[in-house]
Amino acid sequence: MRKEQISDKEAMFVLIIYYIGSSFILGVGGEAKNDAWISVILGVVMAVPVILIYARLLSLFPEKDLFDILDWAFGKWIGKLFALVYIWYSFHLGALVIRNFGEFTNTIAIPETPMIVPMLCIGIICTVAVTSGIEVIGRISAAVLPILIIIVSTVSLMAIPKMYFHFLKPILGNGFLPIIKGGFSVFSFPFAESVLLMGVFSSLKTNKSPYRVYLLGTVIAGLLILMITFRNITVLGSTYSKFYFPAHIAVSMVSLGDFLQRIELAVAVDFVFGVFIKTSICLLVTCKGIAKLLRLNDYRSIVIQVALLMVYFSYTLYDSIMEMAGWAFKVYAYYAFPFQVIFPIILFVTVEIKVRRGKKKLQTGVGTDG
Amino acid sequence: MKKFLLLTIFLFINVMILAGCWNYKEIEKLTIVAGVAIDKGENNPFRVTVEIVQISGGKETKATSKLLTMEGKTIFDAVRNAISLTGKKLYWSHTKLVIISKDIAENGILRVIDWYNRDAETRSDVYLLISKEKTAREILEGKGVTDEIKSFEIADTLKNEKSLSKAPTTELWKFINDLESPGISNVVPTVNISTSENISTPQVMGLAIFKKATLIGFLNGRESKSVLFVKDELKGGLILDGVQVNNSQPVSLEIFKSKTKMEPIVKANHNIEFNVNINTTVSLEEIPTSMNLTDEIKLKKLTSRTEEVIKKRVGDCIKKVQSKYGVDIFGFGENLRENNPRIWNQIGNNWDDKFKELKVNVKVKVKIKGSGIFSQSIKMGD
Amino acid sequence: MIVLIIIGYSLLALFELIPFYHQKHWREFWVNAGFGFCSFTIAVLLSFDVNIPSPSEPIKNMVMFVIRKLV
Repeated sequence: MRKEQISDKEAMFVLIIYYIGSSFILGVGGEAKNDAWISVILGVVMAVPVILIYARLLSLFPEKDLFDILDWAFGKWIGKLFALVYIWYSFHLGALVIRNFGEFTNTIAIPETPMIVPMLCIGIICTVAVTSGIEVIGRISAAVLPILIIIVSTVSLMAIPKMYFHFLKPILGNGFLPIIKGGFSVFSFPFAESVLLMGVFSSLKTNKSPYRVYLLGTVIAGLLILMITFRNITVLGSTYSKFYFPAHIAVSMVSLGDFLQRIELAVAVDFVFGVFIKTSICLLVTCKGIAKLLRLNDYRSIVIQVALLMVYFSYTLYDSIMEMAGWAFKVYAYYAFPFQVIFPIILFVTVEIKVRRGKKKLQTGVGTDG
Repeated sequence: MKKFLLLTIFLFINVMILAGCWNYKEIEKLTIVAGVAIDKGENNPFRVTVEIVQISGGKETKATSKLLTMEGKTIFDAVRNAISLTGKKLYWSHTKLVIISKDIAENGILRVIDWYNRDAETRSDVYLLISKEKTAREILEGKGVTDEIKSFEIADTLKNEKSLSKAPTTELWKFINDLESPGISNVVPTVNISTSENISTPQVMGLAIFKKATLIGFLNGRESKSVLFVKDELKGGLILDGVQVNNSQPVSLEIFKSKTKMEPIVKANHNIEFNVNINTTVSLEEIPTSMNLTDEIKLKKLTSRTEEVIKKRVGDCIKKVQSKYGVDIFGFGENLRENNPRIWNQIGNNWDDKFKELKVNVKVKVKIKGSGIFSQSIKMGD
Repeated sequence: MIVLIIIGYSLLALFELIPFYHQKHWREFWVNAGFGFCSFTIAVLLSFDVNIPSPSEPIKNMVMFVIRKLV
């Protein structure tokens, strides 16, 4: 089988779309109310050390992905257990993203269509993308991201007449605690979710590139999310955190003259692309993990079934959008914390100890299983 | 062969999935709502009147308006009852305004506007108005002057209000936003019927004061201008009566630009005063008497008299609101909260009480920048 | 609905399982068949409006329990 490779630029674009995909439309850091933009900055700052860990792990093992590293670090049985944990996380995250998309279409656009229909549609597209492989996903991202950024910036520029900058005040009016809470939720959604990309970035070219990709991608995505949060707060004020989809509402307020209005669908386009890429990555990681776990030749043989399972799973996740919002804002940050921080740190420490003990092992130990 | 088969099956599935939307809406099957009026019903809590736009095709497309009234236990109940009258669902994307009657507003309008703000088919950037007539329906029953559809005409009025400034403009989302943020009470424009020669036309004038979501009083057009002055929402309009040259008829001054700065002054024991600095640029537009406009002393006199007038009116208006209604419609509290959150956290709890005794110093600066295209007033020959 | 599901899944089996069978990729064949069976069962259950338990609630309870223990 040919080794798949993506360039640094493509990998970065995948990462950026992965970050901004669902956070653009769901809004981040709602706990901090009108200080959410500070939370975004805090979230990025908190994410950097964790992301450095991911990058260090990847650069230690060129051409190996998360599951190979787990296997090498913990041996056969515990490694498999950890692999199972990450398969579950990526499967669950993919289902959550699909569900967000389903609720969005169902609330905003087509309330009478059963939710499973748009969800199945996105599932089918993702199946096609994943079967085509990471190279294709990378190239789609490289083609789409500039368009997304242009759309988002134009829409935000057009929103300037509707902005009330005094909504930003009082800065730090409620003290630091809400901001730290908001920063933590920004950290876990979306920034530390990039742990899953460790399962994909085995296709990077050099072992220097993980640092570049991860850091630059995080900073650019952070700036974009900061811009969006800023726009949402200045347009919507303190009610910002009460909407399920603040970006959609904020953009629906935009009207230039009498002809350029009701442009909220432009935001929906962003969201669809973002969800597509994010779900594809989750699906890809899940399939790769399962294939490694069951020692299949190629992950492609199970993509369709796993995608279908993912869609059904996300369909059964919640009963209502209220439940989804409650879960996303109250539970998710804590639920994801072990996957995003604790397990990677354990892995990191183990790997460092093992590497320090003998460099030779690195060459021989890795790759027997891949 | 296999590829061909795959393609066929794929197309077949596509035909089934993508052939049509799940539920589609044809334009002629829609009942487009232009405006809503909400009253108390006779048998039910709510009576909802919608003005619907009927588009008749043909050589000259014409849009005519029609009123439709239904009752219900809740607003949404009433709205859905429309199906029993028209057989179609109402289409809300082009709605421009929501008019609420006095009775309803006096009992709190939250239960009225919640559906409108929550539902996905309606838009929250509609104008909110309070009817000064007995019912809100009467407003829509009036006759439009320039537009057949009254709601659109009222919306135009509100849009052009910036060069009249006798009423604020309040969009629904802004109302809710201010309702949620402490330290500011809402004002909503009022609309009444003006009758001349047996034709009654809706007229937007003055504002209604809300305490939380309950209507507690009205201010007239002139006082509304003072409120707009303080809130820094004034974009235009005239200043006239009271500004007099040689004790005769008033001079019309048009406001070109106005900027108001509010600043809290914190004194000992958390005593708070507010400075309101109004900077206005005006232009002489109508001078009924003879006056040499290049005479600097006279101009200065006029300027200082205008300043006096604005200062007095704004001061009186603030006093009236403080003593009569006791709610902070000017946003002093909001200003304090935004600029000095520490003090606000200590005294913000009973802001309305504090507001009643708040000392406000109004300072006005007027700059006359022009006098139309004439340099002299018209002089009558002897 | 159920008819559509059966048609869909038999098509999937036709284009996915049979090639594996022919190429004698037994591991792939059985894994795929297992997953297919799972998703088919869930699809049928969903089409009959059977309420499939969601993991959200248990996860939520677990997370809350752990947080309460820690704080």
